[in-house]
Amino acid sequence: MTSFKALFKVMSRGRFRLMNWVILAELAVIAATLLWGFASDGIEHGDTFWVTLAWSMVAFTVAFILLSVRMERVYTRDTYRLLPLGETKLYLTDLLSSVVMFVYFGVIQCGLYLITEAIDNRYLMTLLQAVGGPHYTTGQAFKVATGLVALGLALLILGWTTISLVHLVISATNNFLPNTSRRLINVILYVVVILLVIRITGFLFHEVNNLGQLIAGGVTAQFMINIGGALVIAAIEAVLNIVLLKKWVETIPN
Amino acid sequence: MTNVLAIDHVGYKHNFKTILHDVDLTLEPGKIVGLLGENGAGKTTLMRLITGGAKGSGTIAVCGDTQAAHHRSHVSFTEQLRGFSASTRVEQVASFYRTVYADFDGARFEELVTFLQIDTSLKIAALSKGMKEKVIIALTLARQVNLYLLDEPFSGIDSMSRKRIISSILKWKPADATMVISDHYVSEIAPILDEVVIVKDQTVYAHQAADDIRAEFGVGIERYYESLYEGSGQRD
Repeated sequence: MTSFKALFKVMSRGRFRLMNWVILAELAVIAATLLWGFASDGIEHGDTFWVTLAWSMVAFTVAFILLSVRMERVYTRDTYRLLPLGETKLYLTDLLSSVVMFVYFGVIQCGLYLITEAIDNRYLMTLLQAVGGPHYTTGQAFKVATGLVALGLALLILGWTTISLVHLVISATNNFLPNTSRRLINVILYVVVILLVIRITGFLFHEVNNLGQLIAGGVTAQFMINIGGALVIAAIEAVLNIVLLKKWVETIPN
Repeated sequence: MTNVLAIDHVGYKHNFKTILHDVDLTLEPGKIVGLLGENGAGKTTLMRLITGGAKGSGTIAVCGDTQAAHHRSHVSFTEQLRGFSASTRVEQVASFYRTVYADFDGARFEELVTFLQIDTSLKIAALSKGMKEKVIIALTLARQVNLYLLDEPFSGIDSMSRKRIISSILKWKPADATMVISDHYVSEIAPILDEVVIVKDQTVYAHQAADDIRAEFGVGIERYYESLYEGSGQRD
């Protein structure tokens, strides 16, 4: 049987390479944008930070999409589905490997922010101090940072389990429904996906609002309960995905 | 002796269309079996059911194991490398196999690479159809398992190479392993076959030892196979 270690290694290898390509492309685009700005109007204090932040948001989206594609490919390809292991191990290793690579990507982005902050002579710190508000202790700052990371990870996992659920339901139904019903089911599923995206976006905004209150010192428990709720939904979806893989989802034929 | 494969009342439907029904088949260890049938007969589906790639009804036991996850450690199938991006090099694919399959024999793979004249530095996208099939054959045969499933392994390979691979296939097959080959080149693979399984009318229509076909019907395997489609053959 294939071990978790071996599977994680082969799954992460390709994704690590993919993330590095995204980072390289991001750096190239940031450099090009700054050079263009320098050549046309010159660069002002804060430009490096804002350019990096803007392209970083794009890079995060691209990284998420590319990792999603990698993850979904595993479920219908013989290359992975014929490995001597159970579907639970396959699914969870696939999810974990993407989460780890996304965290790696996030750490690199934080590194980039720190470098630009240094290049821009502590632009962000100056900006935050100018905005005003209470001064936080190290403990409070740590709490806010932990809240942000927990929120990000919970939404990341929920996003991927939801994408997989939709993909696997479509794959499973495509195997046994006649063509007309398949189209109908696909339309219904697309509507469900759109509704889910709206719902998750609403949840995200609500949590960002809660985060503001968390910073102000309140609703810590409510914030953590909501994150826990997202993880519970993700766990339920993960169980459904594993059942679908075991019972109904087939590989693409030769 | 445990059968390497035991299929009991297996059926499969796709989009409400029956592809296979009530399939029963047992294979003993150490055989080379030709899986024959016209296009769309269900040969590939039968192989996918054995690997667990397709989900059907009935029971399939490989070396006595009925759980799909356990089947797979006994089976090596000619999968089309769709899990790799086109820019993946053959040596990276081999490295993947080496990591995930404990039964992957690296030395044997190197031998096969030399024999089949494969350039492992090439990317998948740069491989011709025939060369890709050779890579797939090398990867499949480099595993040391009980059951090899070769699904039309010679398509796209030039006739010279095809004959060379077929004539040397015994060399690559472990003595107690069984190899199932589905192919259209019946006359070329006929000399190495121990048994023939014919898929027709959505089921295993005939399962005969190659020697019995020659002795009982007085014809070669290709003629026997064709005669089933002409309606003159006899069912197992």
